[in-house]
Amino acid sequence: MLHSIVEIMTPFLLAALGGLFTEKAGVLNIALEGLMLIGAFSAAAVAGTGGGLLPGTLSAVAVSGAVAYIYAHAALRLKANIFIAALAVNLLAIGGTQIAAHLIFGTKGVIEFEAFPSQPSVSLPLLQHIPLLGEFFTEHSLFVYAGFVLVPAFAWLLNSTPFGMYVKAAGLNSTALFARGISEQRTKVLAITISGITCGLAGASLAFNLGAYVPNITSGRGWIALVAIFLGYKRPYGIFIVAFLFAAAELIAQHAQGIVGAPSSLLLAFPFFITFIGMILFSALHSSLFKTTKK
Amino acid sequence: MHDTRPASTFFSIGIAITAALLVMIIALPLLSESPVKTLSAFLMGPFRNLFYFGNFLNRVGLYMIAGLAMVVAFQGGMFNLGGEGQVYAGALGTTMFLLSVPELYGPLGVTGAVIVAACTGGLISGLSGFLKMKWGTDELISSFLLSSSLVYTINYLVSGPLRNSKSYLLSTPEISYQFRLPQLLPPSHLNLSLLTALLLVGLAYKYLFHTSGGYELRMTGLNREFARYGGMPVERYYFIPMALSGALYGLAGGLYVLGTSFATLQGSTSGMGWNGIAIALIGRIHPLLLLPAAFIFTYLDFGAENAMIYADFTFEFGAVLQALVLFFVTARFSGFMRKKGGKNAALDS
Repeated sequence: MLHSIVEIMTPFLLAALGGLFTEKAGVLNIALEGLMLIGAFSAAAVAGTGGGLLPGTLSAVAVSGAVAYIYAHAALRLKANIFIAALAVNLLAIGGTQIAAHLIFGTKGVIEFEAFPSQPSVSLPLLQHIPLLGEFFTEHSLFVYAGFVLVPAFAWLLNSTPFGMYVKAAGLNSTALFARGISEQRTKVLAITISGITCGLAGASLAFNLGAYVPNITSGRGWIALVAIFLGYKRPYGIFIVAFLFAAAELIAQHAQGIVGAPSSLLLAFPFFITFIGMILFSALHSSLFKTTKK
Repeated sequence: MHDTRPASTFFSIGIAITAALLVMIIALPLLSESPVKTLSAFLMGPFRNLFYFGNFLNRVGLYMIAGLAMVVAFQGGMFNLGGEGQVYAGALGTTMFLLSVPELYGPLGVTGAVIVAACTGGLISGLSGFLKMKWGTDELISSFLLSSSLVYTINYLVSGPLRNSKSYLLSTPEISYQFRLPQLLPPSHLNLSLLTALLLVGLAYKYLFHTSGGYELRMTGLNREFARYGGMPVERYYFIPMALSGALYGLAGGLYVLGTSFATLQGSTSGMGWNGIAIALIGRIHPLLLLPAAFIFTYLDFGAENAMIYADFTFEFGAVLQALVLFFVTARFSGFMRKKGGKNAALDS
């Protein structure tokens, strides 16, 4: 049970952790979904055609990061609306991966590779014997551990380094940033690029878990990751907990489908719906606790 | 929010359209086995004969309403990202209402259907506006999440419980003949919905620029704090633009059923929500500029779809076109920015 939850939560966690940087920098990054999709395709395409897992991962990171960098530049340099640009990234990811799949593999459907390299599953020597929590560290892909490591790493980066301060200043008080002689724009571009990199990792983990590429493989995970940032109070550890809860909900839904016999096509709506409800509950709770009507 | 430099604005939008056109012209032949045919199908798409032209005009009308939905939302400083689901729900609402009253007097049924469509879309989108007003829930995310869950749910309904078992299509049964809008150019799909679209554009213009409510909506959209100082009831303008926007999206879906498809087919309205955003931006979020904007965008969209017939495979050309237009239009579109501090879209130019 716990083992599956940890596997399911990893793409959410990775994408949300990167998205946290842009959120802190004052940019609501709705392109997470598209960046993740591009990453998943790149990873599958490289690894599936004999490239191996590491090159596959690296290419996902490189392509998603590059797209994020370009979109951030296009939006911030040309003073375009960041949401429209992000929307364009999402739409282009859908159409672009289809065209690329057709040009490279001659299909726009599911791409099955003859010899997709299987992921090594790693157990951590001592930690796996901890009662109850041991399953967090038993037989997982490296992406899972990457997520575990990135949580404290990003917490440290955000709270204890000058770079983290600059990112937060870009979101809170860009005048202060200007006074320090730091470019607000460059900071934001960097933050968005970081989100592209982690979305590349998230996409790669999705593709490697399946061992194939399926159109719309992300199916809304980027959006859910975006909501997880808010629900996790914009803190890495909070995001970790929220991603865990979302993954648990998804696993329960999968089991429920088996028992109730709910049609699988309807199940596609479930993650969006549960995220929507979660978001409402959170904001209702938040505003009643703090009596701050967000204006 | 009239731009002080209209010439440069139109210049940049011209660049955007040209760029999108050029990319399509270069990309389409590359993806097809017979480049010349593909290219001519793309460029001449709507003008091949009256049938195509009628279908083209019909689509212009529907897209115009979708664009209008986003104009109202943007003018009020709100971001409605749920158009896809709202259009789809409006279409299904219309269909189900008319299927439940198959013997009703035609005009009465159509009136009821239009109200149902507008209310369906309006309630869905209005919910996001209400949540924003009440608890500050980000309407951009909430409208998208709700819309996506609706799209999948409706897909399931249309292909399962509500499916017409006599048809091989994934579709609901068709509505009765007396409810179908008069056709203007048979055998093409052109029907009364085009004129309805023009009427709606006129009404929206009147409302936005010649009523006190519309003034308040625009001022709140421009600068919520300023509007508050001016004594305007700004709180309700989280809800009103979203509800109106959803109602228009819902109408687009309803009119599509009434005049074009006569049933809800799985995925038949897909893309209309995103197209609305693209068209509203080309039209500088002004109701009257929406007229040329809808023509231009539909021309590209229609042409690309036609060209696909000659390409050796069909892909999500709609998504690519939308992305291209959004990218290029937005690149110089410094007209409005959603200010993070204010948590709302402020329109300044």
